[in-house]
Amino acid sequence: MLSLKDLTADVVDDDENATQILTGLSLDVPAGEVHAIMGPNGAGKSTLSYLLTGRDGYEPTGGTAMFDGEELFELEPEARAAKGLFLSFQYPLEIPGVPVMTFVRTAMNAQRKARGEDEISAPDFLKKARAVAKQLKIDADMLKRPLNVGFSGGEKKRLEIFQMMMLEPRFLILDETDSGLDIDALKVVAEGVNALRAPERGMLVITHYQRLLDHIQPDKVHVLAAGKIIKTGGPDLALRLEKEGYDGVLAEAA
Amino acid sequence: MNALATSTPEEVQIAERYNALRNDARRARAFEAYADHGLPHRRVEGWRWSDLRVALKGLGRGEAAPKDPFQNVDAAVFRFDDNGFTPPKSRPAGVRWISQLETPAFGGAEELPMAALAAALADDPSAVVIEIGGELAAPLRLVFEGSGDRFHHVAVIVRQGGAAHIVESHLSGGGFANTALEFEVEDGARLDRTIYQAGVSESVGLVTAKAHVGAGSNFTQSALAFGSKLSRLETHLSFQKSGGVAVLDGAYLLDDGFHADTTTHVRHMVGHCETQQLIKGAVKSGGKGVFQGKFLVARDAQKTDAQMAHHALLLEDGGEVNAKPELEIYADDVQCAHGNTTGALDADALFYMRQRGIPEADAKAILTASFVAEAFERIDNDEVKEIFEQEASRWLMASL
Repeated sequence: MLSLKDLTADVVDDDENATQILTGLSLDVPAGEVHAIMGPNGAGKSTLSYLLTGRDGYEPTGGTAMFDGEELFELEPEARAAKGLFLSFQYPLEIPGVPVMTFVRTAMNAQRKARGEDEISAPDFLKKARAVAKQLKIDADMLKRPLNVGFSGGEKKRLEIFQMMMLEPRFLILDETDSGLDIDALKVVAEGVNALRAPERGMLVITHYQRLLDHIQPDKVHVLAAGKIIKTGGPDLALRLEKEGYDGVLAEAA
Repeated sequence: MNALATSTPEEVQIAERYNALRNDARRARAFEAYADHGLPHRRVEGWRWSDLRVALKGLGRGEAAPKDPFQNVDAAVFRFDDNGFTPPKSRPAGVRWISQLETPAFGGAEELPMAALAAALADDPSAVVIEIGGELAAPLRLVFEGSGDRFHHVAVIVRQGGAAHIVESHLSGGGFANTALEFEVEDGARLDRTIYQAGVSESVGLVTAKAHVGAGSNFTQSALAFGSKLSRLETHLSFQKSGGVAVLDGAYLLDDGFHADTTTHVRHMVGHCETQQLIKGAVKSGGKGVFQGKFLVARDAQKTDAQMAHHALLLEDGGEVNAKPELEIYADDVQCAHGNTTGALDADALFYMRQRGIPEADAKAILTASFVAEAFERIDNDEVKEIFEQEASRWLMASL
């Protein structure tokens, strides 16, 4: 479903200075599977999520990224979203003046329009929003407030999952979704993510710590260091990293 | 006429127009207040970013004026257009007006030469005095529309304890429109003033207002300006009695080739009065926004609360915003502050919205609309507020 081959990429700052962050990353996530990417700070984890979703300043320099057989880097960010690519942000942005409900409905209808589908009806949207909010224990009043403005870190993460469950993307990238969550919130969020597991859907879970993977069981675990995948294994690899730290695995690879 | 020696062709035209009018002492006094200075230009204090003398060269004539977004609002309409003045069809309770034969004096003409010019050239019946007693149920609309040179002078008096909402439309399809307005808000009265301005790239418009706010009175102004070749909304407000409250909000949205100037001058001459001001702007490449705000707090004006904020967004490279916020404070027990920023849309927020599937242009329009809408929050009429929000969104959706 998502297939990355020998990917190299730069991060370009406002003064056009480029720094290479990905150095030849290869990765395959088939439909129906959940893959975790773990790695030390500065390994390129967030760079990968921004590169895949098309943020300015993250420039592919070589290799290929195919999503459902299509060249990902030829699409604008909004077109990638309409194809079903969803990033749960490590630091969700505040959108002043735009209530959560308005925002999600605008996004949903924009995606539908891009796919040539009809807009969702107001009653259908409301019904769905109520059901998802209930499942995530989100207060109805919160959905009337401007998106993420004045929300706590945990509330913002919960709202990311809310958007994800509303938009039902085909491929999920979770970037450090566990950061800022207490253990109860983490459970609620993980339940939401697990509810989206489906044979036609792929997921990439980016995390520094293993604890999220207790709740979202990955099929495969990849270790990202210095811009490429240096080791791939099953869920036991995450446990080993938790116990031994990254140093052991890094030393092996070197 | 000492200015005649160096007159521009436009100044000569203005003098000819004056000479053709029936003369009287008030008109002469107003005209002299203008003629002492002539048309202001960029070397004149307060006109540096709005060079009227240059802008008046080569104006268009006779294009259709932009549409009036308030035309379906249920209100009595005072219409000023190329055919002169048309009063409302029926007289709302509590409202009287005189379109008088004599030129009404424009008080303080010497300080506001361009308003004085409007008063001097406002031929009968383009000079109107509207008097309001009691609380009006519906807004009154003043519509200024046309495509030739035109000059108007309107005075609005809200008597003690009265309340009114004046909705102004300044719509221009060409020419030089110059309007002088005087607002007298007597003790314990309230006046809401909503201003909509839209012109073309070949029109010039000045709207100069003077407001006196009485004891415990409220004057709430909200503007939405789309600019023109040169457009200036200028408001001079003074508190002579304590307990007054003023709001001077506004927004400007500017396309390539459009200019909008918001100039306000508030004088706190007595204590215990409050001024709140929030001006928002959004400017595309080739647009030019100007904000000049001044709060003067006199030595005796203790307990003054005056807050000024101007925030502008440059929607594209090549937009221009000039701002001059000024506080001149002689009292020591006051709360006064000003804030002024000019910047671009938050790139991170834009990416976030696009990642959710919202196309870039829509994301920009949504973010800008919500940025601008803050300047409409103090409009005390939901229908009018909604029209402002819709007009702003319509422009943003069409031009981004």
